[in-house]
Amino acid sequence: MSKRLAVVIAFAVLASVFAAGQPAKTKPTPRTADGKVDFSGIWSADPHFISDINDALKPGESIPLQPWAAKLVKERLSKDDPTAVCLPAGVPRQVPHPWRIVQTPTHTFILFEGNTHSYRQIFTDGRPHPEDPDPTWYGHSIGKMEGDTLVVDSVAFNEVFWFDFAGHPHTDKLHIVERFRRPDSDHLNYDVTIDDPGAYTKAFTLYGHSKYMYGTELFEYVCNENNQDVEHLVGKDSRNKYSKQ
Amino acid sequence: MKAAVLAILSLALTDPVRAQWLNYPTPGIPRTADGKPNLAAPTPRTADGKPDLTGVWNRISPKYDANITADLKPGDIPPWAQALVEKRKEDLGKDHMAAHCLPFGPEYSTAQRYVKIVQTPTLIVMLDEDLTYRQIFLDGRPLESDPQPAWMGYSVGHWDGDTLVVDSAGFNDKTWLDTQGHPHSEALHTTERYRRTDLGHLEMETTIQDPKVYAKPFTVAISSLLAPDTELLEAVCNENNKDLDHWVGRASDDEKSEVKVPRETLAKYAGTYVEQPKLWRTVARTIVITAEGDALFGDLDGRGKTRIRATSASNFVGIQGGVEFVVKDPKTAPTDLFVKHVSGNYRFARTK
Repeated sequence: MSKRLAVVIAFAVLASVFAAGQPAKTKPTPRTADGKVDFSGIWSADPHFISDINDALKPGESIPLQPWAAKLVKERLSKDDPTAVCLPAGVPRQVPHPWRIVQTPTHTFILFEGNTHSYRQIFTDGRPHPEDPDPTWYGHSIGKMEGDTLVVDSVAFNEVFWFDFAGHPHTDKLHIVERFRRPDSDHLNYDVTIDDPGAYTKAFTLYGHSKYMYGTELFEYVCNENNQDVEHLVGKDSRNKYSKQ
Repeated sequence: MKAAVLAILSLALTDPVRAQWLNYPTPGIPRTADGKPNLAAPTPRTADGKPDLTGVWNRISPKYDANITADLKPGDIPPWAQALVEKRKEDLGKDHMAAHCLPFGPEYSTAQRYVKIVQTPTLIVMLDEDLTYRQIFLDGRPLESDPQPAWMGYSVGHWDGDTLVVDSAGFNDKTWLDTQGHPHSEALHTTERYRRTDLGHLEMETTIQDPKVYAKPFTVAISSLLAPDTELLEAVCNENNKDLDHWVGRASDDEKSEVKVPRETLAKYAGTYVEQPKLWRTVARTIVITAEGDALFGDLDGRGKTRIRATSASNFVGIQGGVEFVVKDPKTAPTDLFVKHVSGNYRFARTK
């Protein structure tokens, strides 16, 4: 963790030193041998998917919480956040660590540096969702290319994880559709449509943006190694709209 | 007894019930006329002609999972390391990574676990059901000379003909090399050589060099069987880990509470028992029971002969959650035994 922070600072310094030497224009979208968009690489975290997913809405939109969910998100305290005890962040939550996409013809994987050293697998071999899947932290994801967009459809999530530090909840009816695009070498854009008739009155969409991270590697972040979070987490995370109400 | 039963909780957490597995047929693999995967079909290859190691593999490693040094002579292990192993056994393995939901590090490549191998030209990823991943870079980068020690270490690979050679170093010294607790230092360097001999078989030899612990490098060979038409099942250790609350007692407690069983009864228990049915495993488990005087021993899948101690005339502890012999007629030998586990009792029928 501290090493990551140090490296981030070092990169910031280097970036300012070498800013003049950066290529002015990004390269075109890389493609695989069969002509498909190649999403492989290390991508930066989008801060809008960390503290409060309200940050990832289009301007003027709001999250259509059902009353019980609106009450719960105001009541949830940081100490009860599953990530505080080193559990996976679920989907589409991000943490302030980069992640890597590994792409093969039959699968796309996301390897997370943190919060837990874990992976998510997306089947692109044409299989459907299973009929009665076990609910899991990363759900069951199937993907296909629509033109240059990778469309990922996910179900079978457990109800445990939160969407963000704010504590937006969901139920086992959660259905997520992510649409990934790589318009050029350096940028990854994704629209994430969340449909959960158990907790929200209608579907809503979050908009994500990540940058390709050159010249770095995923470090190893093992949350369980020395986790002292919970005893120090008091009250509610202040970086969300509900803490100000 | 209680301690022994509870000590296997971590196994339960990493040993999900396969009956719930997805059974989607793996697309694109050769099949025989009856639709079954043709495990003897030729080794699949990638577009660039390299063997393709991609797939879900069931590593058959009962011996080295328990004891990576099983083939070494006693003198090959320094006394301090042997003493540490004995202490870890006496503590019922409560400091094994599994009990603390920590990554297994180098033990992932020799433990009896499922692994999904994902192969790309520049990167191979190995995925474990506990959601831990391991990256092996094939892009020509060298290993660092002074890496920050990490749980999973650092791995680079290259092709030597049809063999994938993986060199790894930079491990921290917090992990064990096996269930018994053989230690390693930060100087550990492993060299794995993987060969997919046909569709269904993956052979691996790993050479373990750690001069700070083991005077000589040693090599173990482990086979994996393809697990087609199934998938990894997410098993998140942290989700409900109550292990440490219950991980009490010592191995020697069983000795203190041992019940005396007549020699002639123990002799009747001796035999080979095979799991019925084999459940989700590719290979049915076997337990060999031997009697020596007043002592009874069990060897589950060749993990090594382990003393088991009586808590009653037919119940013994020392392997998994215990072993119970089914004695229908006191004058004859038992027909079956149960190997107990938190997920249930598993019946093994006597075959000889």
